[in-house]
Parts: sequence; C-alpha cells; structure tokens
Amino acid sequence: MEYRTADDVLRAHWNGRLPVNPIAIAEAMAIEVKALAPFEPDTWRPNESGHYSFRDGAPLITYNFMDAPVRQRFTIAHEIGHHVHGDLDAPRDTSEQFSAKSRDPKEIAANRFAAALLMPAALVKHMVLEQRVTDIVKLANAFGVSTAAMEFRLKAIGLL
Amino acid sequence: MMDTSDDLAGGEADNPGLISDYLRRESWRFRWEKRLTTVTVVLILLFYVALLGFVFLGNIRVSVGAWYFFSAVRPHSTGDIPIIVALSTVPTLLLIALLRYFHHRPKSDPDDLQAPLPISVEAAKAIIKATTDAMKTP
Repeated sequence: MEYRTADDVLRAHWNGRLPVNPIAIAEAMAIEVKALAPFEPDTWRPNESGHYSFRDGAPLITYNFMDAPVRQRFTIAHEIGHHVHGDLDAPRDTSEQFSAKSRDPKEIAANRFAAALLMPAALVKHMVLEQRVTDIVKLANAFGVSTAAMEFRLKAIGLL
Repeated sequence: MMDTSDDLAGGEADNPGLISDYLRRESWRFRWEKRLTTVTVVLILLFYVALLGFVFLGNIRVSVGAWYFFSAVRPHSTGDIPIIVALSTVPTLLLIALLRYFHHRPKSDPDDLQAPLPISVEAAKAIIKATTDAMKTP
C-alpha cells in the first residue's frame, strides 16, 4: 500500500484511540521497530534519538530506549515520516533534527509528518473547539506529545 | 544550543498561559459563530416559509359562523405588495449578511498537506469516542 500523508497512514492503520500508538502503526506498515539500549554496546549511541534504515531489505526503525516516552513516540513517528517520504539516506537523528527551526527539508517534512500522525487535525480541532480543552498541557497529555509539539501542531492547523 | 521550545520531541512551549488564553478565545468564537449561524438560518427559513404561506395561502378567506362556513379566494391586491417585499427582503439580507461575515472574517492559514479532509459522520463519531476515552484516562 502506498502512503503519501500522515492521514493516509492514520486511515489505514490507526485503531482510533488516543494517544496514537506509533509503534503499532509502524509494525502494521511492516516496519521493524527496535529499541536501542545501553545493554547492547555494539549498537548503542547515546546521542542518537532514532534512525530509519533498511536491514536485509526490510525497513527498520531504531529509537533510544533511554529517552522519555514522549520523545520516543515523536522519534518513531518522525522515522515513519522518513519511511513514507522515501528518505533512504536519512541521517541518524539526534535532538537537532527534531528542532522546529530545522532547515533540512527532509527533517522539516518528517517533523510535520510526525506531528500530523500523533495529533490528527480533526481531533485537535474537535478537542479545542467543541470539547473546550484549552489547556495546552492537558492537550499535550491527551495526545502523548510535548507541549512544544502541541504548539507546533496548533500553528500548523491554524488554531494559533 | 537548541532552545527547549524548539525541540518538538520533548521540549516545552514558551508561554503556555498565553496559548491557553488564545485557545479559549478561539473556542468561544467557534461557539458564538455556531449559534449565530443557527439563529440566522432559522430566521431565514421562518421568513421564507411565511412568504410562501402568504403568497399561496394568504388569498384564501375563510368565514365560519354558527350556521355557515364560507370560503373564498380573492386575488392579491396592491396592498399586499409591501408585505411580500418585506417578507422576501429580510431573509435575503440576513443571508447576505451571514455570508459576508464568514467571507470577510479573519481566516486561519490553510491546513497543511497532512491535515485530513473534512470528516464524515462516521469518522466524527469515532473521533468523539476517541477524545472522550482520552479525557477519561488520567
């Protein structure tokens, strides 16, 4: 199946529950997801948050097991973005790649994808406008993202 | 060194209080516009129905007494013209005003390419269930 946007991915693989589970979505897309931990020193890179690559011809996403859960979720969603956009030569992602001010078009696209995957626009609008959840911390908790990501998404969908 | 508010993965928003105030205002505006639309549409329909009623049924005269029932149809007279004009002008002006309000009000930027298309009723039901479940969990 071919995906072009986060919405395509959500329509195909999201179970409709919040927070969106990026690991389940990645696995449903036949992407292997592997946590990197310090117990495996040959693969462990403390500064690396995540990476998208191919192993034996199959897509593989690795993420840093020692990161906070919110960061892990965004990292995996970001790497799914690299997969959907076909970024075969995606660099190893450190915290710099997750900056809202990143200038690399691939990273910008992956960040936008991750935000759209974890915070579907219709849901965000529904929560803010109809359910009147206006506290950004509560919103971020409901979607399982950081408040910075929530602010980024609110701007992207025109609520800020 | 990256500013923490720029770190999408784990950063914190610069000014959460200000953002919450802004969202509260947006939420209030949404509700106000929803009510405005409902009231205006109801008024428009009311006036148009009254107009139709007056044009097609307003020329029927019914007289009922103890021993008689008499109905007659008379043509509309020139005296009816102001009533018909008023009943057609008011809802038309209301409709134009409503459309102009939504046309000229400040618009948010268009959604990015990742944003879903307008949702169906089924999708809306799923969304409402998902958000309700999410808000229940601590």
